Amino acid sequence: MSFIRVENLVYDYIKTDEGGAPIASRAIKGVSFNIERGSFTAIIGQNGSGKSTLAKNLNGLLLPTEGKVCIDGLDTSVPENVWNVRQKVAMVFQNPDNQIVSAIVEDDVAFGPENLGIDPAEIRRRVDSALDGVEMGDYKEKAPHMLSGGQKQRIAIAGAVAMEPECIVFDEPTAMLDPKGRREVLGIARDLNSKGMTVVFITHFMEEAACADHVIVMDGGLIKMEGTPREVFSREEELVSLSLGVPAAVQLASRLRKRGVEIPEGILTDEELVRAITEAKAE
Amino acid sequence: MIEVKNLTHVYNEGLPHETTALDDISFRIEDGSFVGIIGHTGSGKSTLLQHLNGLLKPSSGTIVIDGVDITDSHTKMLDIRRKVGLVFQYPEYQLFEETVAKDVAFGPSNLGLGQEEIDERVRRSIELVGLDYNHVKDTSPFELSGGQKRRVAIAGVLAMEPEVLVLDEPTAGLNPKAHFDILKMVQDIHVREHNITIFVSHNMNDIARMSDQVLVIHKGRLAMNGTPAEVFAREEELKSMGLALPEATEIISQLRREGMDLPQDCLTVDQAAEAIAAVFGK
Repeated sequence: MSFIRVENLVYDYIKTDEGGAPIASRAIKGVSFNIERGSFTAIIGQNGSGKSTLAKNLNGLLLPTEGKVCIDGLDTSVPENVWNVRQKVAMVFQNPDNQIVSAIVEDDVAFGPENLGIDPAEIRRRVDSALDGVEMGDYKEKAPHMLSGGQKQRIAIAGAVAMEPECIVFDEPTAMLDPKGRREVLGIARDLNSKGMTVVFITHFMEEAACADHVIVMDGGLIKMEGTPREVFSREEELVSLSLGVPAAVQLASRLRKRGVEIPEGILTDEELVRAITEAKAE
Repeated sequence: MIEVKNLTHVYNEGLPHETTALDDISFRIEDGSFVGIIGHTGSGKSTLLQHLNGLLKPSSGTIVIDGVDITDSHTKMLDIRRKVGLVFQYPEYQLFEETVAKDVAFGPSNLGLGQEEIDERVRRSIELVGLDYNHVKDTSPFELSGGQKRRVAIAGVLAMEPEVLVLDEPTAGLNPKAHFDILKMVQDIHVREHNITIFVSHNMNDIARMSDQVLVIHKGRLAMNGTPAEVFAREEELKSMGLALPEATEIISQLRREGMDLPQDCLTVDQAAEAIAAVFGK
C-alpha cells in the first residue's frame, strides 16, 4: 500500500464577504495520486496552482473539503488521527525566519520533541543526531539569527528530523536562498531520502525537480502532468504553455533536433546532452 | 555617468572585529547602460549598493554621479535619493500604507512637490510597473499577489524619478512566470526612461542575457569588469569564486573540452543551438 494516498481531493478556502456571507474559493479541484514509501517526489507549478495547499493537506494542517488523504492508512480527516499523522509527516516551509522560535540552535531543534513529552536523554540524542544529519552539529550553541539563510533552513530541517517522521514535506524550501544555500538544502533532502525518508519537495526550480524519482505538475488546482523527470521534461511545449521552464539541456536538445541534428529523445542533464552531441559528431 | 574611485568601506574600524567589506573598488558606468552585478553572498555586493544611494558612507574613495560627489558630506541626502533609487531585496515587505496610491506617493510627498505633481508621478509610476492605475490605486497593497506587491514597491522608488535605478535581486523568491515578468518590466522601464539600471542577481542566465556590463565582486574587491562575453569567458576564475556560468555557456564549455570547435562566447540557448548546428552543417 502506498504511504500517502490522495483520492479526489478538493480544497476550498472560505472567506466572508462584507455582509458576513461565506465565499468559497476552490484551490484544489479534485486530484488523486499516490506517494510510495522511500520515494522522492517533486511538485512543481506556478503560484496559485494549488501546490502549497496540497502540501498542507499532506499532514493535516488543512483538511479536505471533499475527498480523502490517507497517511500510512490513517485518514487525516478523522480527528483522533491528527497527532499520528503529524508524527509521520513533518513540514519545512519557505521562509527560514518564520520557523525558528528559539534564541539558541539546539533549543530550536528540541522544541518539537519537547512537545511530545519525550524523555530528556532521548531529546538530547535526537537533537544531536538531527543536527549532525544536516551538518550543523558545530553550531548547536549558536544564535540562529547569526546564520546564513541556507544554514537557518538546515536548522528548520533538523527540527523536522528530530520529530523522527517517516516523511518530510518541503514547501518551497529553497525559494529564498542563494545558489549555495539551495544546493545545501537540496543535498540534505536527497541525503535524508537515501537513508529511507519519504520526501515531497515543492519547488519552482526545474533543476531541483529533475533530481526527483517522480514529478507532479500542478496548474489551476489540477494535476496537469505526472511521471519521471525524463517523461515530464520531454513535454517541453506543454510546460512552457503552463509558464514553467525546462532545464537548459532539454531546451538545447530540442532546438538542435528541430535544426536536424540527430539527438536522441529523453535528454535531461548537461552530461547526457554533451555525450549525445559528441556521439552524433563521431558518426 | 557614474564614476566610483578607490571605494573602500571598513566595518567596525579600529575595533577587534574590524572587517574590510569593500577594498579599493573603481569602475565607471556610462549613461544608458544596463549593469549586472554578481558575487557570492557576503562578497560585498549589498554594501556596494548601499553606497550608491548614500545609505552608507565610504571609509575612503568617491562616487561621482553626473558630476555630483555623493560621498561629499555637503551633498544633501534628498538630492542623492533623487538621483539613485534603490530597490531592496523583498521590497514588498516595506509596503505599509492603506492603499497602493498612498504607498507609492510616500517618497515624492517628502520632496516638497505640489499635490498635482505627486498625483501625476504616482499614476505614471504605477503604469510603468505594468499595473492598471484605476484598478489598483484604492486597493490595499496587502490584497495583491506577491509579484504585484513587488511591482508596487518598485513603483514607489520610480515615483522619485531617479536617474539611476538599482535593484538588489529583484526576482528573489518569485516563481518562473513572475520572475520573467518582473525582468521584462525592468527592461521596458530601462528602454523608456533611458536610465542607468544596475541589478544584482544570482541567475547567470539573466545576467548574461540582459547586461551591457558585468561587475564581479569577490571578497570585497572588484574581480572582473567587462561585457558578459568577456566575463563569462573566464570560466576557471569564476568557478574558483564559487560562481557558475550561464547554463548554455556551461554546455558549450563542456563540448569544447571534448574537443569540439565552438565559439566561447555563446551566452544563451539560442546562440548555443546556432553554434552547435553550424558544426553539423545544419
